[in-house]
Amino acid sequence: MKKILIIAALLFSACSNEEQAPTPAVMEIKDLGQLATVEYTIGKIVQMDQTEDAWYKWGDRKILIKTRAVVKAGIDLQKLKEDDIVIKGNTIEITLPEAEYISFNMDPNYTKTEVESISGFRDNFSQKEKNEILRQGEDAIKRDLEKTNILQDASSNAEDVIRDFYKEMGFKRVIIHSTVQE
Amino acid sequence: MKINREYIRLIKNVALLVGIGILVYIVYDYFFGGEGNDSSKIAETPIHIESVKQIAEISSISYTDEIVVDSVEYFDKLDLSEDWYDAIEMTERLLYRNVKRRLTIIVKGEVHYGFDLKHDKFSAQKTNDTLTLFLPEPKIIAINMTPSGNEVYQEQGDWSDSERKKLEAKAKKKLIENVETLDLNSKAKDSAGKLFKRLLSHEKHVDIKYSENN
Repeated sequence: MKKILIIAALLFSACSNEEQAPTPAVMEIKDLGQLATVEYTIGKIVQMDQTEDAWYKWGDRKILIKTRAVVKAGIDLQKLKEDDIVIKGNTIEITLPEAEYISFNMDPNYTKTEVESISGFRDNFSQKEKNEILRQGEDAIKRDLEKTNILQDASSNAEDVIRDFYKEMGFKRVIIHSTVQE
Repeated sequence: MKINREYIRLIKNVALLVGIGILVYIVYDYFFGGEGNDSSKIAETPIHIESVKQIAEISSISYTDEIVVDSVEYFDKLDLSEDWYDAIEMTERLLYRNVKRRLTIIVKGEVHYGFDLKHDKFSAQKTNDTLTLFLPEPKIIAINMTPSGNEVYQEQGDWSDSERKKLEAKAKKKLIENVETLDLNSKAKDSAGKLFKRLLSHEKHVDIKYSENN
C-alpha cells in the first residue's frame, strides 16, 4: 500500500500541471464628463464575532478590521442641457445638475486587520471571509454616506469651480442655480 | 394496550433516528463543515470623517477592467527517504497535484482619466472669434478598487493579509499599465474637447491646447 502511494505521488509530482486561471471579463471604456468637487476620507472599524454562531464549536472567533474609503462627489456636466446655459452680454446664467457620487475607492492598502482572535478548535479567517467582511463594511459606509454633507458640499463647491471657470473665460457676472436633491 | 405500546416504541425509534441524525450533522459540521456562516453580519459601528478636501477634477474618460492575479507555491521535490512517512503531506501532494498553496483573486478596478484643475493650471485666451483654452495634459485622476469588486476565486492553504495585498497591488499595477496600452490619453483629450465645447457653446471657435502638468 505504501509503495502504491509513493508511486502515485511521484506520478502526480512529475505531471504537476498549473490550473488555468479564469479569463477576465471584457474591459469597458466610457466617455465621462464628471466634475468632482469634494473628497471625503471616511474611516470605519469593521467588527465580526462568530463565537456564538454554533454552540457546539468550542472557542472564540472574532475579527476587527480597520478600513478607509475615499469618496468623491460632484456634478455630471454631461447632464447639462442646452437651455441650462443662458448668455446675455457679459452675464452667464447656468443651472447645474444635482450633485452625485463620482467615485468610491477602498484601496486594499487602506485596510488593516487590527485584531484576529481565534481560540479553541476554531479556524483562522480565510482571505475569502475577510473579503466578505470588508464587502459588508463597504455597504455600511455607502449607507452611512447619506448621513454626511458630502452632496451638499459637492454642490456648493461645484458653484465655486464653475464660477471661477467662466470668470477665467471672460464673463463679468456668473449666476448659478443648483438643482437641489429631492 | 398493545397498540399503545407499539405507538410508544415507534415514537422512541423515530426520536432515536432524529437524535442520531442531529449527532451525525454536528460531528460532520464540527470536523468538515468549515467555519464561517453566510448569514454572519458585521456589528453596527459608526463611520468617522477623517478629512474633507475641496477638489476640482474633471474625469473625461473611465476604464473598467477585471484583472486575474494568481500566486502558486509548490511542494519541494519529493525526498522519499524523509517524506514517505508524512501521510498528510503525501495526501495533499496527491489531492492538489503538488500544489502547496494557491490564491487566485479577480480584481475589478476602475480608472478615471482626466484633468486636475486645482493643482495643474489652466487658462484661456481670446483673440477675435477664437477662444484658446490651455489645459494640462490629462492624467490618472482616480483608481477605484473595492471589496465588492474583488472575488477570491480559489484559496488553498493559509494566506496572510500582506500576501493578498501584494496580489492586489499587482492588479493595480496592471490597470495602470493598460492605460498606456489603450491610449487613454488621446481618448481623454477627445472626450474633454467635446465637453468644453459644450460648456463654451456660445463661442464660435474653441481651440484646446495641452501643456505639461505644472
